[in-house]
Amino acid sequence: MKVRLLYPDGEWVHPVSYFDREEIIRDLNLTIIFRTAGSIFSEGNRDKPHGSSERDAFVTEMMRKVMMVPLLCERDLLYRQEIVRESMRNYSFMEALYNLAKQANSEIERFAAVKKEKWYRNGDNDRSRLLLTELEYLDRQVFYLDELKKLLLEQTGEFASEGLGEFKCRFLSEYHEEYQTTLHEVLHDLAEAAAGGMVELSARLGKRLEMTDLVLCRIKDKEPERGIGKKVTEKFEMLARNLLISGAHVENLENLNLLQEVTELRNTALASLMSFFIPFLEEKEEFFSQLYQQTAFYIGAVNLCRQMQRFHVPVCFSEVTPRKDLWFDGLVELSLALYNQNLPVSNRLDAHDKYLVVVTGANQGGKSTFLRSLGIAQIMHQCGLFVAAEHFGAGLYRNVFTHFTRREDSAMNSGRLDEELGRMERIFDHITEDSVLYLNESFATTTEKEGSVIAGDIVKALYDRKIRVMMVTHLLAFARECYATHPEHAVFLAAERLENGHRTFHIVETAPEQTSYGLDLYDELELDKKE
Amino acid sequence: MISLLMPQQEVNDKCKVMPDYFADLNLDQVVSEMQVRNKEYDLKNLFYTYPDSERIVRFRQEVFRDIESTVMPGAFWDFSKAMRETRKQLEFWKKTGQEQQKSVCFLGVVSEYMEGLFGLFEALSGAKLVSEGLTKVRDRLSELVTDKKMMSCRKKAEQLNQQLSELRFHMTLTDSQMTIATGKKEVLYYDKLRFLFPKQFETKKEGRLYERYYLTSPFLANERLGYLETEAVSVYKKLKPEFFKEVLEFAKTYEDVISEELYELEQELQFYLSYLSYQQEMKKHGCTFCIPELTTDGAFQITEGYDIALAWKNMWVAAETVSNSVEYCEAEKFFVVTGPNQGGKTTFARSIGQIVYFAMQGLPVPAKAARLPYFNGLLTHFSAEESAESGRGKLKEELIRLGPMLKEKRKNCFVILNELFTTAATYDARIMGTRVLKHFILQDCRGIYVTHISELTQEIDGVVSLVAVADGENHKRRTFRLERRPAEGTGYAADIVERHNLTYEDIVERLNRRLSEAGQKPEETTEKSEKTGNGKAEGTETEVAEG
Repeated sequence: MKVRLLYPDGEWVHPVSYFDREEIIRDLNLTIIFRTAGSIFSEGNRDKPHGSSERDAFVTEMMRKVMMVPLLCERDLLYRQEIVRESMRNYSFMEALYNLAKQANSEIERFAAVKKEKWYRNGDNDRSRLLLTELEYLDRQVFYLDELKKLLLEQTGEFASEGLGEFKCRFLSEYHEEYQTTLHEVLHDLAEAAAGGMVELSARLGKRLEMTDLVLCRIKDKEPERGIGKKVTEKFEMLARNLLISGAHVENLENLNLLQEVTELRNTALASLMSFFIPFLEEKEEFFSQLYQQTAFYIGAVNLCRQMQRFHVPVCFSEVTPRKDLWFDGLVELSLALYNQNLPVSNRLDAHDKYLVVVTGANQGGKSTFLRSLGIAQIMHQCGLFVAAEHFGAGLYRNVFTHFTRREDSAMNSGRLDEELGRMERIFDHITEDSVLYLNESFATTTEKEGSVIAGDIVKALYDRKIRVMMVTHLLAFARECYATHPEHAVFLAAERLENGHRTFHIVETAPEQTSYGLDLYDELELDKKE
Repeated sequence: MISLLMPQQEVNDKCKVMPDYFADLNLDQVVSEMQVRNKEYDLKNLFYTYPDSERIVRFRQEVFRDIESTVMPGAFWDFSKAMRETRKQLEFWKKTGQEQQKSVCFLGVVSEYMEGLFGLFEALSGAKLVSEGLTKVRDRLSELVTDKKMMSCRKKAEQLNQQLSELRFHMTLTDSQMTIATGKKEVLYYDKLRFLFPKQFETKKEGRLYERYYLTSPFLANERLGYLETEAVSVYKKLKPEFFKEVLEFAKTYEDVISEELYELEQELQFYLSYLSYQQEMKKHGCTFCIPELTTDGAFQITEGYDIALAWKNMWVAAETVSNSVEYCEAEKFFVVTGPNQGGKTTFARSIGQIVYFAMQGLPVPAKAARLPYFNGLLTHFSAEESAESGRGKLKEELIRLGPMLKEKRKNCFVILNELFTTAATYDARIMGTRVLKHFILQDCRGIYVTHISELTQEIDGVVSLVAVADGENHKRRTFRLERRPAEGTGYAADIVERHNLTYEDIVERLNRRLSEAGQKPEETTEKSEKTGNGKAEGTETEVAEG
């Protein structure tokens, strides 16, 4: 039984995530997105402030995992996008599916704990008690299968997404009427055998006259208690049977030793029947666990979407383009929007046949935010989620690398440069042509002159190999030099600064300038002082 | 009594204590590995004994050839198993008290025994035997199986076993009642399960349809029958009284049919079988073995001999074991081996010692080809750690161990001395070493003397100097050849640096290679990940680790 809600042809097993996902999560501020997705949104707390809604840590965890694994082809991406769309439309169904899987999983975990505990205690009675526990567990598993079937059958309309449609089909064809009925019949037999019903076995005597080649023949329901009068007829029946069957021998179990052996034998028969269910149980455990993990992603997606809509953040499903192209409109930085609970500045870009994007310009002009918005959108795009933009089109990359100089790093210090280049070297150990590299104020740990040389070499090497690089840099010497060579596949952007020195926080296409207008900032502060 | 280890008339006292050379040559490791694979027998006594004569060696070589080539070794393994089973059943039989059980058990014992006996006889009579040992065994088995009583016993046993296997009964169990009946129609419960779990009912072997159906009985076969079993027997006694009568009679009539001489044969067989399976395991991994040629003119020549215990360990990690070829020319008595540390000197000495040992046991040796004379014994002395118990210094310890070897004055032995007198001053060590060497040469012994004292090679007649020389080309693995040439006394530090690829050129070269690898890799990865689609295992980038 397969779930296949995340991939059309496989389950969520050993996925290969981005090379350094912790780095990406930190650089792109993704934690707040995971957390938001894990805050279960319901109509009731629509108006409550962010954070007071119910938290589901598992959803957060699954968002973190699934978002860090890229989809590598358009088909897989569309497959997932469709299910996200359907989950938004039919949230109550997805929620019910998720809750069912969640319950089934907690029972699986509980049983595992009970079983473990019972293994340690090895009393005489424990074997039959363990059997009973197993039987009960099997019963519960079948209960959840039945529930799931009910839930799927309640959905009378066709599913719009291939994923959910196939899931329903697959489940119903595997867990069809006859299978279900037979399963319940066997469960009934098992319960009877455990409760003292009749068990018939055949055996032969071996080389030491020991019982061997034991085979289970029949299980019959326990006969209801009869009155005394009937006991007599029973005896007659027995007598008749004895006459019919040669050598029959009947014994009432008054001898305790004999009773013990009979009980043991019955337990053996029961255990052997249970053993047939081991693969069944293991498979269902895996099935429910997959269902739990995979539906959690869609629950997270819907919650994230609802939160975005609350703050009027645009939501769009992205398009897959060739890797050389990148276009978007109304793109905002989602983590910032979620953090401030309002709509930040949006940006647009239309870059065809470009591999290198260089952003320079005014300090505090929104460059880093812009770069981060690109990175976040790329990550969400690649995992089949919607993007915080009006339109978004980009290629798919196997790997995403981020190299952000964080503020605390930027002190000039040769040890730092060493460390920074060490990080860069590690990226180069793993970078491939289907990677995208985000550089934010890299090589700031050395002088601008030196930094420019290093950046020039690295960027040229990547540009020659047509590896996509998105960089924000204060290394104006590098940027101007690079611009001067008129590279065909590069775009130069800068934070917009109006004539009056006012910053719009929009990023626009322009040639890199000599200064980053740090003076403006300085002046601004001075002015404040005078007032 | 027929023996597979000794030709008739020969007597060779069994040695129960581990000989001194065993640990030195790592033969204890070899034997314990064989023991692990053949737990039921005590192999130590078989391998500790050193054959007293050349005749024994030739006798065993023939037997080994026969076992390996003509008769399938499987027949011997089956025979051993049947004999073990016979003894086990017999033990059980002795403990049983209940009349019916005892007689049925005896039927089991006899059946096992005959399976072994007839099985081996059939295998041997179908084979072309060359060896004196196995031919005699075959003749003896032939006598046993054509015995009239044996033949009638076999027939009767088959008949009774058939009847026993047909005794099926049904038990109907509720929580208050139990019914045992026979002759009921067989119904199986498993239809529903088969519908639910068809895969579990796919039978792999023909005729083993019931395999998945059988339950493991919760009752072990016991000297005392269980209550249910007793009930079943009493039902049967009523139903088929003549069966139990016949079994009882069988036990009385054929009480003496089992002859213990087959047990001894079984023990001796383990000598060959253990080594054979050890050797086969190694052959699978590409190791070569040969049955050595025993020379009478003293010629001694080994081609590509290797350390068997080391090769055994190496083959699990797919490491290569270095082999060496060596030849003693006429009048050459001792090799004095010098060379760098970690250069394989000890391994070389050990491998030659092992070859001599296995050759003298009449077994194949770890080498491509081997010709060597018979030696009266093996003497080894490998430098020992200082003994904390005796409180004696290392040198004294060594001399004390060496004493008996020198005093005994055994002629024509093979002697291996490894790093003697390492703690003595070089001058002293040289004098002592010379005296030891002269002593053994005088006793007409041959051997190997591993040492770091190069002067030893110059002074004595019959001594040849071998030097372990590094094969310079290969940096990754340090391999050595042993060359006949005068010993030298250089340092080898630079050598070790080179081995670790730590020279300046090496480091530069490694960096270049990494860059070119990184240049080729991206295309492959791109192609691959686009083809396979989703982000599961296929898209993994694998980093090629540097050696």
